[in-house]
Order: sequence, then structure tokens, then C-alpha cells
Amino acid sequence: MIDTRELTRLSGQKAIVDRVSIQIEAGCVFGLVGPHGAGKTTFLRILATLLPPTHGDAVIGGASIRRHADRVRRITGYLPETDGVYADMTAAEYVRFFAACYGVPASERNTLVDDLLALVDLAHCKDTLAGKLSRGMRRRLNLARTLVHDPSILLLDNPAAGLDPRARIELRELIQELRSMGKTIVLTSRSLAEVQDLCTHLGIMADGRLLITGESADLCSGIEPHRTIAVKFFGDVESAVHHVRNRQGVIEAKTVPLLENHSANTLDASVNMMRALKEMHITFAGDYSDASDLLRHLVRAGVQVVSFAEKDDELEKILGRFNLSTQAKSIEQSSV
Amino acid sequence: MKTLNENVNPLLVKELRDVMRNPRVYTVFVVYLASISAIALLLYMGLSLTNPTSRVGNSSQVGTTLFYALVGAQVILVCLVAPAFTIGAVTHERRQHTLDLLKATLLSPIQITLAKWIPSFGLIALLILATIPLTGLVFVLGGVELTQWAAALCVITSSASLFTSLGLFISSRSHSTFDALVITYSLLAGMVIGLAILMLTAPALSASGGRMTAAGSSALTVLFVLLAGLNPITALVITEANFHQSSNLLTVVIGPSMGFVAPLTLPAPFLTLAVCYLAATIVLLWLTARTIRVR
Repeated sequence: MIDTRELTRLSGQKAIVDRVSIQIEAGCVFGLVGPHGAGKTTFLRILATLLPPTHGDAVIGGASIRRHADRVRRITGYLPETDGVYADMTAAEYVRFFAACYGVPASERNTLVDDLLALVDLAHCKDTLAGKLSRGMRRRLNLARTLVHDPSILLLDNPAAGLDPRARIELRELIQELRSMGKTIVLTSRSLAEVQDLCTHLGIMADGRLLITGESADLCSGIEPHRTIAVKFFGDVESAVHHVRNRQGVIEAKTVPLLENHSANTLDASVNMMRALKEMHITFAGDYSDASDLLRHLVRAGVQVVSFAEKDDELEKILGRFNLSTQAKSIEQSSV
Repeated sequence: MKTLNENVNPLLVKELRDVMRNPRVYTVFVVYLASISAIALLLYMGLSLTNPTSRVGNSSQVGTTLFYALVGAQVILVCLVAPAFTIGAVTHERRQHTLDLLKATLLSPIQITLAKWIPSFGLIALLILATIPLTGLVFVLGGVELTQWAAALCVITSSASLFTSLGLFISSRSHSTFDALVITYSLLAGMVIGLAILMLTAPALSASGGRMTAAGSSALTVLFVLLAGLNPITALVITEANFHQSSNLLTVVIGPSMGFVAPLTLPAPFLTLAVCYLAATIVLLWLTARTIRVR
């Protein structure tokens, strides 16, 4: 379905995407995971024919991205990381406009708009201006846009980026529904935990190189299915740890010193503020709903939460298993 | 009708709708027409007051002066207004993250470019059309022929075409609308004001520069006439001066007294300008489409 051969994109002398060769079969959900700046977005933009590769080629559904960009666009739907909407268009106008851009006959557009908005659960927002929709709703509206020409391949760039836990769950359900409709999905993420259940296959990318690919189950076997949530807060450490323990999904909670080895007589106000800030790492096995409940519980208990975020250390765990690192120079690639 | 509706570029339809729904467009129309009207009225009143006695004898002179003033004002206003409609066209799409979405559709980069350029150029064309009744007043006073007016209209329209496409091209290569604005107006200032000053002072400078051979002088004259066709102000000035001298609007004849054995016939600067500006418009639109495709 998707076959890339030595796909390379240079920016000056630097390779943003470095000789990526991969085969993705029809019906797969392929998750491309890697840190910020790994080249995932550029790779996806090349597949979507938005950027020409410097070297190499990719064949999507039998059409080369270099020679038959129009044919590739007919069978792919691209969802960028940042949602672009025309703020002065209603949700229905927005989908109808892109249906026209994809050459959907005018007679079919109204039915299509209704069907797609119902699919992404935005039927009630049909006449709402796109600029007034929440971030999660805009994401779903953009997903509806990618489906206007009924593409068989979806290229989703970090689809859960910037969404709250509830919106992430909804989006996840939507992607699973699209998968059940037979779509081939390529999606990117910075967090393995976010995509490992969703994807049939995974690839790990760093510094423009595809370090390893394989079936999701194989790659993640042996990796404990929990992740670490880092919480920064003001207040009593013991009390905060007490409130966290015994909550759904929490395996362990421990505090981490934030500002060590600092002179005690420092009078700088910001340093004093930092000294009052505490950090706790929670080993967590719950889902996003549990994480949302945990945050709500902490706030209700009077803990002054400054930040609540997942730490991405699963990538290093997987690469460690295969004697690789995100700085690895050797490329290990395979077909999926 | 249905087939036509299916085949029309949807982005062009959207852009045309956006332009006509934008209240700022009507403000520009009012300010533009008010400025042209104010210039015409003040100039007419001034000329009438300075020549109060012989109304009939001087009316053609008043008409000619009014014509030059109105055409000059329109060239300057078109320079100011035309790029303003396009400098934000691509940067705005980039800022709101919709350019990639358009590029991912079946619209080609040239369709995207034309959808951005046609409404802006159409709006300027509408502005020029709206001033026709006002410039038509000079025919009541006399002193101006219809062909002169057509030549002026040709210069103004060609300038509008180039300046809108220049704004669009700079917009496609800029990161922000402010960058595009600064670069476009700097280029235009050099192209219109700088070149006009250079061209209009060049004959005086070359005359004061000492002796020149006949061949050198004639080559300089040919160069001057051709270069005059690259600037709307000098193109109009030289075309009009030549028309008054030889009653020939379409060509400029040089020699044989200027070092040529036989007279040399060159196209009038307004024709050179129209051809060069339209060719430059096509090149800039093509470059814009290319930039949209690769960036």
C-alpha cells in the first residue's frame, strides 16, 4: 500500500528525513513514534505530496509521489498537527468547501457533509462558526475534512496533540472506527504509551532515521505497560503523596528533588519560588480517564498543581532492548 | 450551469466572496474615489481662478492639465493600493495553517495562485472602472483625445496587474505579512519613484556631462525610450510628449538628425510597458505557484 525507498529530505546539508525505506500493508495502523525534531512530520508531509523528497521515492497505492502526485492526493487524507480552519466558515461550509476542492460532485456534497459531521460527532455544530469550536472539536472537524474524498489512506500527524484527556479518548475511538472501516492509517506521536494500543505496527524515528519497525506487540513485549506522570506542585509533599496513593491506576508515587546543591543564603525571589516547588513522579497504569480523575482529585484536595504531564521514557526502554538509542548511527529497517 | 458550477475553482469562489464581503474593501473604494474627486475638484477650481477671463480659449488647457493630474494620481494610488490586496494572501493562509490543507487537495499550485490573484486584480480593475466617469469629465473640457486616455488606461491597468502579482509573489516567500509589506513597498518605491527620478533627470545629467559622439547620443536616446517603458510615470510622460510633438501615439521616431542615417521607429513607451508588465505578471504568478508547491 505504502512503499518508500530511500526517502530523503535535506535542509541545507542536514538530513531531516534520512534514507527511510518502509513498506506498510493495507489495513495497518502504523504508528511513527519519536522525539521532537525526529523528522516524523516531514516524512508525513512528503507522503502527502506537500514536500518533494530530495532523494528517493514513495509509491502509495501504486502511484509515485514524484510522478503522480494527483493520484496520491486522491487516495490520501492528510491531517496536520496544527488545525487549520477558516474562522468565518461554519463547520458545514468548511467541509463542503474542501469537498469541492477534492472534486466531489455538488449533488453529493450536502449528504456527505451531514454524514461526516455525524461520524465525528459534530452534527449539532453544523452551523457553528469553525473559529468558535473548541480545540477538540476543531480536531474532529479537520478529521472530517480529511475524509471528504473517502481516501483509503489516512496520514495523521500527531492527532492527539494539544487535546485534553477526554478529547483524546474521543479521538482514539474515532481512529479505531476508521480502522474498522478498512482505512490504512499512518499516525505520528511523541508518546509510545499514547499509540501502542491503537497501532498494529510501530516504527521509531530519531534524527531523521527510522531506527526500528515491527509489530506493535513484538516491540512492546517486555515493556511494562505503565508510564510515568510528573507532577509539579506547591504544598506539603507528604500530603500530596498521600492523596495520590490508592487512586485508580497508581502503582507508585515518589518525590523528586527539584533544586539541589543550591546556596541557602540566595535571596533571589525566583530561586526561592523554585525551592518551594515540589515534584512527584507517579508510576501509572491507568488510562486517560483515570489520569484525568487523578488530576481532579489532587486539585480538590488542595494541592496547588503547577504542571501534570506524562514523561516519555518508553522509547528509550524499547531502543535499549534492541541495543539502539535515539542517537544510534546504524539503521535497522524492516518490512511490516 | 450545473457543469459550470462543478468546474469553477472553489477557492476562487471563496476568495471572491471574501473580498466582496470585506467591509474594508468599501472603505478603500470610498477613499480612492474621494481622493480622485478631490484632486479633480481642487485642480479645476485652482485653474479656473487663475484664468478667469478667457474660459473657452483655456478650457482645453485646463482639460489637458486635469487629465495629467488625474492619470498621475491614479498611477500613484494604484501603486499604493494594488499590492495591499495581495501581500497578506499567502502569509495569512500560512498563519492560519490552511495552506497545507489547500495544497493537499486536488487544486494545483497555479489554481491556488490564480484564486488569490484574480479577486485582487479584479477589485483594482473595478476601482479603475469606477473612476472612468470622473476622468471622462476632461472630454467635456477638451484638449485630450480618446486614444490618449486609452493609452493612460493601459498603463494604469498593466501597473495594477504587475503590482498585485508582485505583492502575491513576495507574500508567498515571506514569513509574515509585515515582512511582505516592507519588501513589496521598498521594491515598488525603487521601481516607480527611484526609476522615474533617474529617468527624468538623466537627459539633463547627460547634457551637462560634456561632449558625446552622435552615435553615443543616439544609443543613449534609444536606451532612454526603452527604459522609459519600464516605469509608469516616465512611460506616460514620454508617450504624451511624443504625441504632442508628432501626433503619433503608438511609435516614437528617432533621427535622422540624431546620428541615424534613416529614422529609427520604436514602440511608444506605454506599449513597451504594457508588454513588459504583462510578461512580468505571468512570470511572477508562475514563480508564486512554484514557491507554493515547494515550500
